[in-house]
Amino acid sequence: MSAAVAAPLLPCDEVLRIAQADAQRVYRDLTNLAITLRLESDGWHVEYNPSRPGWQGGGPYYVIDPVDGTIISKTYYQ
Amino acid sequence: MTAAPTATELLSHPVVRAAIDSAWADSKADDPAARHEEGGWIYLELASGVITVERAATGEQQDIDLFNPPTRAGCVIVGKFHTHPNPSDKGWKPGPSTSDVQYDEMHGVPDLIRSDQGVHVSGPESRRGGLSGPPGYPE
Repeated sequence: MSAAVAAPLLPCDEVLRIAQADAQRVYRDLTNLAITLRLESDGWHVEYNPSRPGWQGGGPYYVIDPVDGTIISKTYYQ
Repeated sequence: MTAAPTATELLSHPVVRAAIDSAWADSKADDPAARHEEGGWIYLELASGVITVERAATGEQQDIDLFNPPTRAGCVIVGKFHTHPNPSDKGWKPGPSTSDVQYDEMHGVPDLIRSDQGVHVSGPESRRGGLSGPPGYPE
């Protein structure tokens, strides 16, 4: 009898690389966006938001599969 | 005049409509390499009820600074506007972002957001507290 082994989760730097690759394809400049990553029950949530005080707008928002790195959902905010 | 105009009233005002249309044209929505946000503020002159607008500095592809509006003598700010020029059919959300909603509530005036899906309204229905208060954003 063998015990089930949970699949290893992707490290957050790999998750960020996946998100960044898509974000750089869509957004011309990411330098003024702050990034937050958090692991939730449905995957890694990677959120970009304007970092300059007073600037309103948005950035990309991803939910990424924590095991295989598939982008489950993405929204491009502006 | 005692009541601040509502977002619906601002949207039907010819000066505001023209300003939003002009901002949209300047946003270069059809040019992927140059599209960017434009916007500005909507003023009401207290003595006459006349509506005027002032444009803000050009924004970036996905954000704009509407934080420090210039004041005008005898006027209060009753709204603001900006554009979301990126295409909704490419996955861009045309309506307000989280930070739009946060800033619009903080600023206390309706924000009229022009996108390729039309105009979205964020923030209060009209200037918070009516026409009293400071000439810039309400307290």
